[in-house]
Parts: sequence; structure tokens; C-alpha cells
Amino acid sequence: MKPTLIALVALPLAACGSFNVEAEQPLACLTLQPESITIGGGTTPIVGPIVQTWPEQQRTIALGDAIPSFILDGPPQDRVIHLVSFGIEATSGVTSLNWLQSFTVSASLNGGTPVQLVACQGCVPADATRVSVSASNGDYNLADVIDASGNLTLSFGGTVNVPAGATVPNTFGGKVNVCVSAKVKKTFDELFNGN
Amino acid sequence: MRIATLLLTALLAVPSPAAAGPQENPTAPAQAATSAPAAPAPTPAPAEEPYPSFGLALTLGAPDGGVISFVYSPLYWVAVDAGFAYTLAPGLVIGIEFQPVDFIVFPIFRGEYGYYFTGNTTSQIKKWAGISEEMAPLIGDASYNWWSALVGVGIGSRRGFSFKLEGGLTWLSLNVKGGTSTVNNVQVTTDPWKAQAFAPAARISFQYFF
Repeated sequence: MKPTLIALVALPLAACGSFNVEAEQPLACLTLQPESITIGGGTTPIVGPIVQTWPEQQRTIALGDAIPSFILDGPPQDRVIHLVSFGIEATSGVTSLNWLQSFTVSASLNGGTPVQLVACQGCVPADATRVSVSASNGDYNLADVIDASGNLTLSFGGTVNVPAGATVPNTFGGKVNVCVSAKVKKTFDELFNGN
Repeated sequence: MRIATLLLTALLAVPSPAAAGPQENPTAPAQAATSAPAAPAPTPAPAEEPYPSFGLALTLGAPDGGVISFVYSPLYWVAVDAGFAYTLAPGLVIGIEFQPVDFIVFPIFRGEYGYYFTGNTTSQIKKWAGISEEMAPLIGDASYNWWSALVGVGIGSRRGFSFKLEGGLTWLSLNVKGGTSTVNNVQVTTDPWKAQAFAPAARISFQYFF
């Protein structure tokens, strides 16, 4: 009888430091509203044949709109947030994304060293109005570059290749789409003490 | 004829040996006086009543919640139970218990599995996680299930009422459907959420076998 009573108390106490909760969102996708996306640096349409730089542009993704704060908050070692894919969809101004030869997507925090997350070379399907590329650096933990408000700042740019006889405007209307996965693991102590 | 009748009547008047009282042996009157009376045959021991096999239990615990169970015990040291449970939603709990000691105070070793259907769990998750109204559609219906291993002590009778107190460990899985919503002009779509917990478990039970 005595060993049973001891086990009744000791077993939960012994495991107290191990009690934990793990929460995961395998895939959360955020699609920004249609907005103007720059193709060229000038004001006149781009007439092919020409290969030029697609200027780097930034977008701020409010991950807090998709992921609860108990996953986003806390030290980076407890939470893992990965970029799953990045996409662009043309909604107006262009009939396809054929002119997009290559692009990269990187993330940085407060102007720090950017980390490349996506690389696309010739990945745009012919006559497609939408491109979605899986993260090439999918193991990188975005928790290191998410600010205190849960915002992720992404920069994208690349190369424009307008073939002969084609013309593209300097800007087009489009939507940016970002998909992430998130996981957090917290001990009971962290959970109840608000860590 | 009279003599024959008289003889017949005399014969009929002789008592039969069966109807006679205890016979006296005129040759051994001393033996009858010294021999001990025959010992009465031992009465058979009353057969022990078998342990009742069926019972009812009322339980409060974590993560069980409130449970009313039907118990079946084919042998005094083992019992299985199945019950209806409720906390934030209705659920089911099944378990197996071992009570190796048949005494008024006895140890208990228990394993159980429980499942809670969707109900009010989702609204409580949204409250606890601080989900805004805009994000609320991203958190869909939630159900959860768990496995627990417990040890405990019971007080009472296997033939009637007993009280049990148990503690142990539980492995709980929460399954929450995702959804779609527009949050701050951003269209958001989420897959089903997953959560798992490794946590302490505890139960207090009142059980009656009938």
C-alpha cells in the first residue's frame, strides 16, 4: 500500500518538469489584397526584347492575422515558423507573367542581413497569371526575423525578360500570397507564467 | 373357528419390529450404558457468495471531466468500465482497472482512453487563445482524445460501495478544424490545427457493485 501512495504523489511530481503542450498549424496561407506591383523602374511601358532587373520590393506580412499570439510570442527556441511557399497572381494590367524570368524572396528584421527563402529560375509556367514557388530554404526558422508585432517583412525582386514584340507596363495589379507553417512547444511552467 | 380367530387376532396384535422403540439388547445392557452417543454429522460450511460482477461508478477528474460508468468485473481483481462523459462536450471513456488486493483499503492500477466530441470546446479555445472576432472563423470545430495511466488507492468493499482516488499521466490530442476568413483586409486560410499535451491526470470515483 505504501509504495502505491508514494507513486501516486511522486510520479506526477517527478514528471512535472516534463509536462508540456505542443501546438501546430501545418499550413496557414495569407493573400494580400490586390495592389500595384512594379515591373520596371521607369514610367513608360517596357518594350521587348529586353532583359532588365525586376526592382526589389518589400511587403509586410502580418502573421498575427493567421497565427495566434501564443504561437508567435516567446523565445525563438520554443517556436518554429517555416515559409512553405511564396506566390504572385496577376489580377490586372498584364495578361500573363511570361516576362518574369527569375526572382528571389528574402526576409530580414529591422534592416538586418537578409536571408534568402525562395529562388525561382524559369519557374513561371507559360502564359500563367499565377506563380507559386516552394521555399528553397524551408528549414529556416522565421521566428528569428519576425518582429515583436508578429510581422514578417519580405523582399522580392529578380529579372524581367520581355521578348521581342511584347510590351509590358511598368506596374501591374497583383496579389502576393505567402504560406507558412508554425509550431510551438511550451512547458506548463511557461504556459501558466505567461512566458 | 373361534380358536383360529383368536390365534389370528393374537398374531395381528404383535407389534412390528419397525414400529418398536429402541431395542434393548438383554445380553449387553452395560455396553449401552458406557458407549458414547454418536457425534452429530458436521454441518457443511455455508458457501461464500460470489463477488458481484456489475456496478456503477461516478467519477470527476482531469481530463475525464464528469463520467458515469457501467462496470463489469468478472474477477475481484480486474474490472472494465465504459461510461458517458461531459465537460465542454459529450464524450466516452473506457478503462481497465486492476485491484490485486482484496481488502478494505486496496491499490488500483488503471489504464483508460477517452474521446470528446465537438461541442463547446471551440469557444473555450478561442477564449483561452485570445482569438479576435476576425480570426474566429479560422478556428473550427474541436474534438479531443486521450490515453491515461493512473495509480491510486481505494477504500471500501468489493461487494458494495467504494471510494477511489487516482493520479497519473495523460497524453492528450486536440484536433481543431481550420477555416477561411478576411482579417485586416488579408484573406487567410488555415489547415486543421493540432495540439498535443503531456500532462498530469487525476480522478476521484464513487463506485457501487450490486
